Amino acid sequence: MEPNHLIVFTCNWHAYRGMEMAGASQLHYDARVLPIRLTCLGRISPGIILKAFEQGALGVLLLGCPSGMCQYESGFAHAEEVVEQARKFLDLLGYAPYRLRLGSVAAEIDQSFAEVVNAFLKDIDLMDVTPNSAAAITAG
Amino acid sequence: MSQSVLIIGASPAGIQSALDLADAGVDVHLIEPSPFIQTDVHLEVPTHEQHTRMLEAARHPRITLLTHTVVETITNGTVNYQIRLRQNPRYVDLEKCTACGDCLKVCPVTVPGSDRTAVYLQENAEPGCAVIDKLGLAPCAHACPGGIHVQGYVALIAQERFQEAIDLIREAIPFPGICGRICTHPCEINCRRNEVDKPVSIRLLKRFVSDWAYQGARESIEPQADQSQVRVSQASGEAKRIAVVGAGPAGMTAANDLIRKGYAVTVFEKLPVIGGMLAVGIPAYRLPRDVIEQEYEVITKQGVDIRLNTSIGPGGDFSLADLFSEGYTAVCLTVGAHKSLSLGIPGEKLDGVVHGIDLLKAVSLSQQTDEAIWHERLQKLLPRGVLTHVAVLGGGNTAMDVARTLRRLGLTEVQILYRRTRAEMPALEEEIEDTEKEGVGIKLLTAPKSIWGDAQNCVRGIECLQMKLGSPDQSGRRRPVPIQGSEFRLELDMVVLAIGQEPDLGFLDSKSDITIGNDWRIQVDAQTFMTDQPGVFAAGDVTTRSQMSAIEAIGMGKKMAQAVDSYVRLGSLETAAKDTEQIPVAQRSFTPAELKPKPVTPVPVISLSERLLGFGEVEQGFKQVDAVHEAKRCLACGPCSECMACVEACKAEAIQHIQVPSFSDLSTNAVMVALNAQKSTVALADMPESVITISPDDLIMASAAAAHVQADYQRIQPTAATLPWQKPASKDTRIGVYICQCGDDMGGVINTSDLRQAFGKQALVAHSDIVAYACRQETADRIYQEIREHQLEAVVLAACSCCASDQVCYSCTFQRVRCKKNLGMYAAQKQAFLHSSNGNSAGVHFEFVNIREQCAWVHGNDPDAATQKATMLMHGALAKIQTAIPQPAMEISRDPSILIIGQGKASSICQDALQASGVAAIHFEFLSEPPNFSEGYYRLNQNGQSFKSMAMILTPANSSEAEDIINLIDAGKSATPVAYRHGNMQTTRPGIYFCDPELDPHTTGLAVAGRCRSWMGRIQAYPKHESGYVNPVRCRMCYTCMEICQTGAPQPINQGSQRYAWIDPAICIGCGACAASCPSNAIQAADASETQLLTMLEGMLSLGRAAGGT
Repeated sequence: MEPNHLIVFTCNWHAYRGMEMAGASQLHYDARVLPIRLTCLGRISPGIILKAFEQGALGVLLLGCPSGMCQYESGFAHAEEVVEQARKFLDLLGYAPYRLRLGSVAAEIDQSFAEVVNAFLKDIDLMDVTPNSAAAITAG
Repeated sequence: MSQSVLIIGASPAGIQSALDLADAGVDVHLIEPSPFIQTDVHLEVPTHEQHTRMLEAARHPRITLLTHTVVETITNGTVNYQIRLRQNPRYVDLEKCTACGDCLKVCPVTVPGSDRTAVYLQENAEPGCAVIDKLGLAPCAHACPGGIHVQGYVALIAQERFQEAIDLIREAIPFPGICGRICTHPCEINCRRNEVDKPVSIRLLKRFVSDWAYQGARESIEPQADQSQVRVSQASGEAKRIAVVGAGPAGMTAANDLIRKGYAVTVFEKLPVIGGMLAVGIPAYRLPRDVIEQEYEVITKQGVDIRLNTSIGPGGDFSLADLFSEGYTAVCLTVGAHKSLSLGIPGEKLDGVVHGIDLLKAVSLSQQTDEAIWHERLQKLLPRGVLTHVAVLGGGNTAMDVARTLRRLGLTEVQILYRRTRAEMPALEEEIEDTEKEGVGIKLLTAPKSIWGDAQNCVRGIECLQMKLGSPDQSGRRRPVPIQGSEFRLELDMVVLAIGQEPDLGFLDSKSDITIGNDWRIQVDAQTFMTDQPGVFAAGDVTTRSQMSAIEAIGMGKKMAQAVDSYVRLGSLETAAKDTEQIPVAQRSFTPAELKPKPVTPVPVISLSERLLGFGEVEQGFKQVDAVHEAKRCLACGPCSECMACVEACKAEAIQHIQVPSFSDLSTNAVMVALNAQKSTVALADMPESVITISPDDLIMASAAAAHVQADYQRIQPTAATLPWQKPASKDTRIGVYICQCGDDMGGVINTSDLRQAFGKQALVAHSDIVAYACRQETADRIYQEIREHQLEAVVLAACSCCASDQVCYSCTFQRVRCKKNLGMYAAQKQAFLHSSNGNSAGVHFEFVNIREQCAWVHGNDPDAATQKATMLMHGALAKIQTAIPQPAMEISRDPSILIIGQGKASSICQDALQASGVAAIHFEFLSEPPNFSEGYYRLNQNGQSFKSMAMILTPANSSEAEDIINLIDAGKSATPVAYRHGNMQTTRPGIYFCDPELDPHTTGLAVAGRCRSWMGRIQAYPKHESGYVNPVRCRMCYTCMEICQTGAPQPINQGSQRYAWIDPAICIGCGACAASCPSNAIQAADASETQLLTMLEGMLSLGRAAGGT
C-alpha cells in the first residue's frame, strides 16, 4: 500500500475560493492534492482526520480563512483545537505529526493555494526521504 | 397585476436595492449600461463578496438582469412608468460562453488606447462571459460592395496570418487577385486614415495576400475543389440548372455562389476569352491575364461549365426561350456594357474615329488569341502605325487605359482631351498620374466641336472649344460651359472616343417581357435583381448607368445569386430585411497617439522605360515585410475587425457577429437610478423628476431607497415553498453520472471517455454519459429526460460547478450559476420545473464535482494524473450520495412581525416603513425583561401582555442605551451574545438588526427596515438546504451545540417527556461546528454528515491505493 495523496480540507470561503482562483489562473500544482470542501473548518473532527490517515493519506492539510476573517467567526479557532487533539491521537497511533498541518489561504490571491499545498508536499517528501534531516520542519 | 421596479445601474448600491426588493417579493428589472458589472475597488466590501452579490442578482428568480442595456424612452403615466429598454448587442451568447478565453487568443485587434483585444473578458466583473467591442461596421467594410470584411483581413495580414486573410476574402468574393489589382477601392476612399494622412493601401494588401496564396500554398484552393466534386456529383443527379450569360465579374461571381449552393451552372460567353470586360477592357499591364485565369480556374474546378464563343439572342446559338426549354430554371443576364457611346458631333463617321473600348478589345484579343482577325483589326485601327497622332476624348479610366495602351504600342503623340478640370475626372487619381508619367498630355477644359477629315474620308484634325466651369449638374460636378470664340484646332490622325459605354441589347427579341429603361439598361428589382420576365435576372453593367466598377458588379452578382437561390428553392422572392443592413458604421474618436501620421508604404513599380516596352504589369506588389508594415497602419475603427477568427475558435459556438439592438417594453411602479456620473450620460436621457437617484456606492442609501419604494406598495406576500420529498439514498440507489467536456477544456486534458467507461461499470450507476456543455439549457433538459427514462434517483455531474447548494459563495462563477439555474437548483425555480415538466414530486439528489478548475486546468501538464484525480473526486461524490440521509426540508412560514426596541429617532421611521409594507411592527422604548428566543420567535411579556416577533430592530438613541439593550438581550435564554460591528446594520445574530445612533436616523431607519423586511422575505421564500439538522432520538440535550453556535440557531424543545435540540433553519448559517462537536453524533451538518465524510475518504483513497499498488 503506497500512500500517495494529500487530503486537503478547505473551508467553503477563503480557502475554497483560493483553490478556485488557482484553477481559474491555470496554475499548475501538485496533482497529489485531493480537495474536500467543508462549509467551515469548524466542521472538522479528529475522527475525520484519523480516517484519512487510516485510508492511507500521505498527509492532511486543513485550509481556512486568514486570521480574523473566518466567515463564521469562530470556525478556524475550533479547527485549531481539533488539530491539537488529532495530533495526540496521531502520535499515539504512530503517524508522523508533520503529516498534519493547518493553514489558511487568502481569497484574493491566486498563487496562495498552490504555494501552500506545494510547500507542504515538498516538506513531507523531504522528511520521508530523510526523516532525520536537519530541515527544520515544524508540524504546523 | 404584478408590481415591479426598474433599477438603472448594477452598481453595488443598485444590486443592494435589487436584492432587498426581490427578497421582499418585488419583481425587479436591473439594467446595466456597460457589458460588465464591475467591482468597485473603493468600496469597503471585498471584491469576492461583491461578486457573490452580482451572482445573487443574476440568479435571483425575481430579478431580470440585463447588461449592455439603456433606457431608450421613459414616460411617467398616472400609475406606472412606461419604459422602453434597448439592449445593445454583445455578439457573444450569455447562455453559451464558457469564458475559456480561446477567442481572445486568436483576436488580431488590440483596441487602441488599451491593452486588450477586441473580443475580451473582464477580470473582476460579471457576467464572466466574453464581449466583442464592436461599434458597428468599419467604414472600409461598410463601403465595400462585395461585402468583404476589409478591416478583418488587414488585421490578419498585420499579424502575418495570411492564410486566414485570404480565406476571409474568398469567403466574400472569388476574385481577390483581380480586385487586388483593379478595384476602385471604395474602402480606401472611406478609410479613416484619410483624416490623419493617407488611407491604408488596402487594395495592395489584398493583392499581396492573393499573390501569397497563388505563389505559395495552393492548399487554400484545393479543399474547395474537393468540396465541389461532391457538389458536382450531386449536381449531375437532380440539381437544378442555372444559365449565366456573360463571363464577366458579375456573372462569374453568381456562378461561383450558385455552384456552391448545389446548382448546375453553365456560363455562355460570346467572346473567345473568359473575363468579360476584365479581359478585353482592362489592359494587361494593369491586370495580367494569368491572374484572371487562376481565379476563374478556381470556379471552373468546382464544376461551372463555361462555353466560349457562344452567343445568345436572335442570330446567336440560343435564344432566351431556348435556355428555358433546354431545362434551365433561371437565367442570369450579365452581358455587361460593351457598346461605346457616341459624341453626336460632325465627323464622327470619319475613318480614324475609333471607340476606345473597341481599341482595347482588339489589343487584348490580339494578345490573347491566335485569331488573325484581331491583329488585322488592330492594324486597321492604326493606319500610320507608331506615327499616328491621337487624341483620346474622355476623363475616365477607359480614356487612361486607351492612352497608356497606345503609348505601349509605340505611339508618341498621344493626348487626352477632357472638358472639365482634373478634379472632376472620374478616373482614379493614381491612373491619371501614371498616364501623365508615361508621356501623355492631358488638355483640360477642352471639348470637341467637330472632327474634320480629308478627301479620303480620313481624320485630319479636331476643332475644340475652350470651356469654363458653371453651376453643378445632376451628378454634382460643375457643368462645363463653352467660352465664346475660343475655338481652336488640333491636327490629328485618330480620335478615340472614351466617353462611356452602354449595353448591347441586340440579344433581346422584341417580344421579350424584359423592360428596357430610358437609360437603355435592363430594369430589375432593386432587391432581387429579377427582370419583368419571371426567372430572368440581371446584374452588372447591363443594369445601371452609374459608375460601375468590378467590385460593384461582384456585389450585385452575389446578391443576385441569393435571389436566384430563393426563387428556385422557395419559388418566392421575399427577401427578409437583412440584419446586416441595420448595423451602423463604427464612428469612434481617435486617441492623440493614433492621430500621429504614419507614412504610406511605397509599392515598387517598373521603370518608365521598361513600361513602354510592352504590357508587363506596372505595379509589382508589396513584399511581405512591407505588407505587414502597411497593414499595421490600420486604425481599427471597428474596433472589432470582423475577421471571424473568434467564430472559428469558439467551440461553444457562442459568437454571433450579426446582432442588432433588441428592444423591450416594461411597465413599472418605480424607477431608481444607481449609476456613476460617467455612465449616467449614456444611460439617462430625459428622466422624469420622480425617479429616485442614489449614489452607486452607498449601500445604506440603497436599502433605504428599497424600503421607501416598498412603502408605496401593499405588502407582497412571499411565496412559501416546500422542497419535494427526497427518497433516502440506499445501496440500490440508481445513480446517473454525467461528465462535461466543456469544449476542449476537459476533453483536451482529461480522458472523458475512459472516465465514463470506468463509471459506467459501477454497480450503482444506472446511466452514464458525456455532455458537451453542462451549463446549457439543452443539457439540463436532457438530464431530466434521462432521469425519467432511467428512473434515476441521484446524479453526479462532473463539470465546473461544485455544489448543489442554493447559496452563492465566493467561488461561484457565472457559468456555475447558469448550470445550476438550468438544472433548477435554485429552489423557487426548481418548484416550477419539477411540477411542470418532470411531472413527479420526487426530488433528485445532485452532487457536483469540479473537474475543470480542480483537475484539467491545474494538471494540464499531466493528463494522466488529472484523469486519475477526477476519478477519485467522482468516487468521493458517489460515496457521498450513497450515504446521504435526506433531512426533511422545512417550510418556514412565520408571521412577519418585528419588535422595535429603543428610544432613537429611527424607531418611528422603521415602524412606519414596515407597517406601510404590511409588517406588524411593535415599538417599545424600554424592555422590562429580556426577550426569549424559542421555536423561531422572540417572545416577550410586557405590561402583562405577551408578544412574539420574528425579528428585532434595535434603535438606541445613543451608545450607552445600545449597550443596555444588548446586555438585556444577552441576559435572556438566547445563548451566544449579540454583537454589532460599526457600519453594519446587522448584528452577529441573524434576525436582529441595529440602527446605529451615530448615523442619520432617517436614512438608517429606512435602510434597516428594508434589510429586515428582505431577510424575512428571503427565509420564507426559499426553503434552506444549508441548515444543520438534529436527530431527536440521538440528542442527549447536553447543550454543547447551543454553546458552540455563534448565531443561536440550536434551541431547546420540550415535547412532553422528550427534550431535544432543534436547529432553526432561519437562523442557521450552516458552518457545521455543532455537528463536529456533538458528542452523540446527533447533528447532520448541511454539507455532509460525519458518515458521508468518512465514506468519501474511503471512496477516494481506496482508489488511490489501488492505483498506487499497480
